[in-house]
Amino acid sequence: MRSLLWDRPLERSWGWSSVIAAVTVSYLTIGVLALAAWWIDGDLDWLVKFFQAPGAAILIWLAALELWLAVSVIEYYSPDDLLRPGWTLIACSAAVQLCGMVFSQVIGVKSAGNPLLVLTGLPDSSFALARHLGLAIGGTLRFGLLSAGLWFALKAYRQAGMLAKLALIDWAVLATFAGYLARNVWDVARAFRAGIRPDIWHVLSWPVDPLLWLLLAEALLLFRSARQMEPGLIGLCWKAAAMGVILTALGDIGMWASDYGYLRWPWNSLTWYLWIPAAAAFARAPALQLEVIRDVTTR
Amino acid sequence: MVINKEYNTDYQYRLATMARGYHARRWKDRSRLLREMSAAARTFSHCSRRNRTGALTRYVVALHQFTDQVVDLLPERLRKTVNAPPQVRNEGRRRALRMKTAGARTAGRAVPEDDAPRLLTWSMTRPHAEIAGDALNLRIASELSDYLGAAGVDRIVELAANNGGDLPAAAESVLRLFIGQMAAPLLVKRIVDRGIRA
Repeated sequence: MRSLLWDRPLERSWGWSSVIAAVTVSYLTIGVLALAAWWIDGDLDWLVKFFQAPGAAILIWLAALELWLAVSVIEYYSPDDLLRPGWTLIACSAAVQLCGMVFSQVIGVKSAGNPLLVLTGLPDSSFALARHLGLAIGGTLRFGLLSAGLWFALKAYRQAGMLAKLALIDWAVLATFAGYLARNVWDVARAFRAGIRPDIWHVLSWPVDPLLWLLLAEALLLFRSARQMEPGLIGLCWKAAAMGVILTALGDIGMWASDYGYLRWPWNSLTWYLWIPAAAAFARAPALQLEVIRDVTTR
Repeated sequence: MVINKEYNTDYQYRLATMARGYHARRWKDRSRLLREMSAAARTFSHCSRRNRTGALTRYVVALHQFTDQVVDLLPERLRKTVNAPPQVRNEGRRRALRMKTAGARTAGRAVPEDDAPRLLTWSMTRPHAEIAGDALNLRIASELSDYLGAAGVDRIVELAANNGGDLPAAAESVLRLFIGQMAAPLLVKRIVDRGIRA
């Protein structure tokens, strides 16, 4: 968590990485206050209002920032550089994440902040459609592009001879996640046998978990490699990206546990808070890289 | 505060230089004061060359203040030196000056008279010697560790040893992978320049 929120590449400057950390901590504090207000007051409206307005706003802001920063990073790489296609893929994943967030958090929600609700009298099914579309874009497509982008980072570590090996605990985490994947596949097979036919949105979401497993494996390798190098400015960026993936995987498992009744109300609401630091970590990754490169090229 | 300029400036300057070295190696997290100290030391050095006494005194006062605040952060070995009685520290300073004089004799440069204040002025105004070889590589490695981490630098040193000992070239080839071919040569050049002039 330290690398996610506090590690600053350059002590003298307060760049975007620090701004993201400060804003995320402020929002999380407000979110925890809303949670406390709900527990004390018993009025769920506190929490709903937080996630509908400020919660959605910060997720969209972080996605937009991630896109802008990743595009800015690309400009510092030549076409021959190994990480240029990697950062291009990461920028594309940030772009689809932003689209997905807008669809799932704004257009797909019946709230006062939805422009479609104000402008047109669309039926309820349109909001559900927009939400499904947002989740599909921000899920399968986003994770596919991101895993391809992180692959290039691993390639850079390997070419530099600095690729670490996974620790025993990492293998245990990956095995547990693989078990979770197998359980999901088994559930789908059972549903088919029971004659249930999934809709297109369900089918589109199937690759999400395998992609998350792949991303988790990449993130753990990146984290170990960056950690093996000991504290250095270049490793911070990949540590942040790895932390984003780990938090996303945790959030995904939290959602599954809520759906299957393993994590009961109101405790499952705590998993909602994981998405904000996860988005912050993803946005901090290009911010940290940009700060290091700008420091080198402008001084 | 009473300032014995000749004694204090030299002592503080050396302390600031030491602190700067320690900062570069391991005190990344608590280095604001040390950065300020080293900046003040550099300014002091600049002022002393131009004989601006007012500015010099101001920076000596600043250095005193920074030193007071920073002494507690120093490692035990250095703290003992700092807290030692003045005559002990003076002896160390005289020894350092004698060594500098001997070094100058060996190098065939003009040696000033054996007079402490003049020696002090001479030692501070003489051009800084450029360093090379292993000493330079050590400095480059130290600077690189800020970017790649200590273990990352070890890997580069190993790489350089296998390729004829060219550390800057090895560093550039690795940095190119991570920060691209536009930024990597600039960073290596900056680090080498800083290493030579330090």
